Amino acid sequence: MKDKKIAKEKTAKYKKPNNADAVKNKSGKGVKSKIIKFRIQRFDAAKDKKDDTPRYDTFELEVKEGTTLLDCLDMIKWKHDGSLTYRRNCKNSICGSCGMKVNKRTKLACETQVHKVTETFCSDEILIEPMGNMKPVKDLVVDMGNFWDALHAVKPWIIYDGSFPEKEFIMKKEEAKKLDAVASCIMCGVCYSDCNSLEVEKRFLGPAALARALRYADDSRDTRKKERLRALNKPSNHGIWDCTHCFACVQVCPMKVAPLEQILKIRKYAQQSGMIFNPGARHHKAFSDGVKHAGWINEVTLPMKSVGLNIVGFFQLAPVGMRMYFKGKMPDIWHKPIVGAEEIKKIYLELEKKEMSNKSDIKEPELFEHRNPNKE
Amino acid sequence: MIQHDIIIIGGGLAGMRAAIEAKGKVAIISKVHPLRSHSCAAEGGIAASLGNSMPDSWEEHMYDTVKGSDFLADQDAVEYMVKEASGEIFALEHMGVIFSRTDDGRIAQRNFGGYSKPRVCYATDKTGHALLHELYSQILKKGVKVYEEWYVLKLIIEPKGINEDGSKQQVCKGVIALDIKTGNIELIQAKAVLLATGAYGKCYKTTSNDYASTGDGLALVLRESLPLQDMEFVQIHPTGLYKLGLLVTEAVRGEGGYLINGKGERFMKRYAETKMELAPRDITSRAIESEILAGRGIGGKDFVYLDLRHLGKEKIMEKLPFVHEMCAKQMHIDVVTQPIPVRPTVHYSMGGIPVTKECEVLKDSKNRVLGLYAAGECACISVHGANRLGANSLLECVVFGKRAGRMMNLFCANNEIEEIYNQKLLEEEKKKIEELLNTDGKIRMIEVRDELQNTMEKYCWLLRDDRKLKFALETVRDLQKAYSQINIDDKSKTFNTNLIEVLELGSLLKFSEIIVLSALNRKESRGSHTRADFPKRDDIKYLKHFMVSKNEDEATGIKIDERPVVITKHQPEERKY
Repeated sequence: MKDKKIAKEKTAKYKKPNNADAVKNKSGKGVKSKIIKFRIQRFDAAKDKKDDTPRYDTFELEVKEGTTLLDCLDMIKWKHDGSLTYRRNCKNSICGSCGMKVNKRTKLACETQVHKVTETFCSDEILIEPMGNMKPVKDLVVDMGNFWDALHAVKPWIIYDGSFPEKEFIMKKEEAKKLDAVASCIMCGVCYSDCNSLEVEKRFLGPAALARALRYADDSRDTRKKERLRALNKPSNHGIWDCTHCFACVQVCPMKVAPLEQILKIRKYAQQSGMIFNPGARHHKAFSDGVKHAGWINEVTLPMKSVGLNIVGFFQLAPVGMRMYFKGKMPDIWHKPIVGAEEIKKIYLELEKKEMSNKSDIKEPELFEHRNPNKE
Repeated sequence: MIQHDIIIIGGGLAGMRAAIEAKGKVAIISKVHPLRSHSCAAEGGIAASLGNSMPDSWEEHMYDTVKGSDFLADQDAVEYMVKEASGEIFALEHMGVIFSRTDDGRIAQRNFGGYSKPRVCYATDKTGHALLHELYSQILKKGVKVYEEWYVLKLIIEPKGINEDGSKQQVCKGVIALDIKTGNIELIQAKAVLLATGAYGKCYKTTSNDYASTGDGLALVLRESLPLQDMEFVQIHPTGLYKLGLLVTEAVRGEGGYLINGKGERFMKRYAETKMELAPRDITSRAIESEILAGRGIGGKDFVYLDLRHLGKEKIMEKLPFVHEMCAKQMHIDVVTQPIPVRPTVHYSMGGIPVTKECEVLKDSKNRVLGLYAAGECACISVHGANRLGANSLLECVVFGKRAGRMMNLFCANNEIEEIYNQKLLEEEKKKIEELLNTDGKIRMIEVRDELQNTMEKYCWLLRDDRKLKFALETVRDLQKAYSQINIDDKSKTFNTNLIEVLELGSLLKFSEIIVLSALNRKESRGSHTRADFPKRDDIKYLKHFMVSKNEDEATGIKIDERPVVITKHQPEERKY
C-alpha cells in the first residue's frame, strides 16, 4: 500500500472522561489499561472509486484490559466519528454480523480482545480492514451477496421424499451429535473472507456453503444425499474440488465448524458412492497411487491421470509441458522409488486391509434408500 | 411503485414463520439480514407438552403458563398456543431443526423455571440459532423476497368507512421504508402488513438484547396514534453475565445449576421453597435483587454466583457448550471450575402492540385496524400476562407467526390493494430524513441514549415507586425535546448507520414514555411489575389490561383504555412456588 499518498489521514484522540477506574489500581488487582491506536480503512462506494488507494483514519483510545474490539469501535463511532460504519448486532458471537480483518486476519469484532491482539503482534497499533473476497460498500461493511448466493446454491434445506411421520423423526443421539459442528455455523463469512481459493476462483462456493451442504447431506432425514453429492462433485459447480487444503477456514472459524474437514468428508462420501470420474477424484487417486508405488508423487503421470481420457484436457496440458521441457524442468520419465519406498508400500497395504475390514461397519450407503426404496 | 400482497416487517422467528405460511407475493423487510435477527440468541429452548420424558398434557402447560403470568394472561390465547405447541414442534422438526435427542431418538426435553414437568425442547443451548437458520432455509426454498437492510420509517394507515360503534375504520395500505444500502426511500404498497419487529430492551443499559432491539415496530404504531398494551411488564432475567448483561440461559438452572450468595447459601430457599432455582423469572430476579440490597451479594457487591461446577465437565459440554464458550470468551472464566458472576438483566417485554387472538392490531378495546397484524415479541396477544415463563417466547413466535400468516392469507383473498389518498406521504418522509440529516445540532446521540438508558435502569427497574417513576417520566420527556438537537456526523447516503442509530433512538424515546406511564398507572405489584408503594396484587382494580396511546385530543395528551382479561379455566389464586 502506498502509505505516502494517503491524503486524508487524521489522528483523533479520545480519552475516557472518567478514567479513574482505568488507571492501574494500587492493590495490584486493578485492570490494566493502555493507549491503543486503531488504523481503520475508510471507504464509501458512492464517493470513492474502486481502485483508489485506500484511505485510513487513525484513532487513539485508552483501552482497559478485557475490552473487545467492538466496544472500541462503538466508542469511536459514538464519541468521536459517527460516520464510521460497520455491522454488529448480538455482541455474543452468535449472530455473525461483525466480521472484519484485524491485522490482516478475519475475526468477529465482538469476541476479539484488543489487549490480546496487541500482545500477539507486539504492537499497540491495530489495523482494521473490511472482510476480503467481497465487495466493500462502506468502511467495514461489505456486500455479502455472493456469499448468500453460494449458500442458496447448495440447497440448504431438508428434502424428504415420502410422507412425514405423525410425530418427530426418530433420530439417534449420535446422528444428531454428528451434526453438532456443522450446525453451529453462524454464517458470519469469516472463512469466506480468508479463503485463498476464492481469491483466484470467484465462482468457488466457499467453505461455509460447503460445510452447510454437508449438514444436509449428512442429516438422516434427507433423502437426496446422492443428488447433493453429485452436484457438489461436478467441477462446473465449483464445489468440493475447488478447495486447495490451505486450512485457513479451519483456523479462523469462530465457531469451530472446521469447514475444510467437512469438505473432505463430502469428497470421501462422493468417492465412496462411486463418483470417481472427474479431475478432482482422479487427481486424488493419481496422487495416492504415485506415493504408493514409489514413495513420492509421480509428476509425469499426475497431470495426465488427473485430466483422464480427455483430448481437450491433453491439449491444454501440452503448452505447459513444452515450456517445462525447454526450461529443463521436465521431471524424469522414470519414476524412481525413494529410499524407504517399500516401507510406505507396507503402510498402504496395512491401511487398505483395515479399510476392507471396516467396510462392513461403514454405514455410509446411509443414503436412506431403506426409508424410501422407490425414490432416488 | 413496489407492490406486494403481504409485507412482513422483521425477519426473526415470528416474521419468517409467517412468511413460510403466507401466500401470494410476500416480502420481508428487515433492518438486518434475517440470520442476524435476535431470535438467534435464544438459548434455552421451546416449550411443548410432548411428554417425551414424563407424561404431560397441554392442560398442565396451560396452568403453568397462566400461573406464571400472575393470572394476567388471556386464557383463550394461552389455550390456543399450548394446544398448537406439539404440532408446531413436529413441523419444525420436519423442516430440519436439529433438536437434541433422548436415548431412544425422540426430542429431548429439559426442566425450566415455573414448569411442573420437563417440557422444554432444545438444541443444546443454541435453540434460537437452530430454529432461525432452518426457517431461513425455508425462506430461501420458498423464494420469499427479502428486503435486507431496509428500515421502515412509516406505516401508511388511512381511514376507510365506519366501525359498528360509529368510530372511523382504519386500514393499513403499506409502508414507507429506507434502503440503508443506498439511502433511497420507497413506498411499498400491500394488502396486509405484519409487524414482527421484536424486542425493545435497548431502552435499558443492562440488557441481554442486541443492538437492533429498539422496538421500532412499537414506535411505528405509536406514531399512528395507536395504543400499546401492558408496557409496564418488562421481564428482567435473573442471570445476566455480570456487568455485560449478556444472557446466561435459564437452562443452566434447568440442568441443575445453583444460585449462591455472598454467604455461600442457596438463598432461593427463602423465596421459593419447593421450586428453588427453578422459580419463575420475576421471583428469582427479585430474590437476587433482595439479596444484593441486603448486602449479601458476593463480597457485598452487586452480583451473586451461578454455580454449575457440580454438574461435571461432561454434562456441561454436552448440554451447555455455548455458556461454556461465552464465559471463556467474554469473562475468561472456566465454568467447569469457577462459578459465574451474574446480575439480573433486561430480557423480554411482555407488553407490546395489542392484538386480537387472530393477530389483528387493535385500535382501541373494540376496533381493529384492517390489514395490520402483529406477532412475536412486539405483539401483546397476552399469553405471557405479567411474567413470561422461559421457552414460551419461541413458542409464541412460531405459533402466532404461523397464525398471522394464515390470517393474512384470508384477508388478502377478500381484499385488494387500496389506493393511497395522501400523495404527499413519500415526499414528506423524504423531507423529514433530509432535515434530520442536516440538523445543525450540538448534542451527540450517545449522550441522549445513555441518559435514557441510565434513567430507565435507575428509576424504572425491578422496584418501582411513584416518586421514581415520575422522575423518570420527566427525564424521558426532557430527552424527547433534546432529540431534535442531535447531530448526525455522517451525511452520506450509503449505509448511514449513524442516521439509523438516531432513528432508533427516536423509537426508544417514544415508547419509553409509554413504559413509564403504564407503570405509573398500575398501582399494584403483579408479576414483573413491582411497586414498593403498592406491594400487593389487587385483582379487584387491576386484573385487566391497559392500553396507553398518545392522543392529542385528550387534555393530558395521553389516552388510557382498558381491556378485560379473558379467564376461562383458571381463577386467580395466590402464587406460590
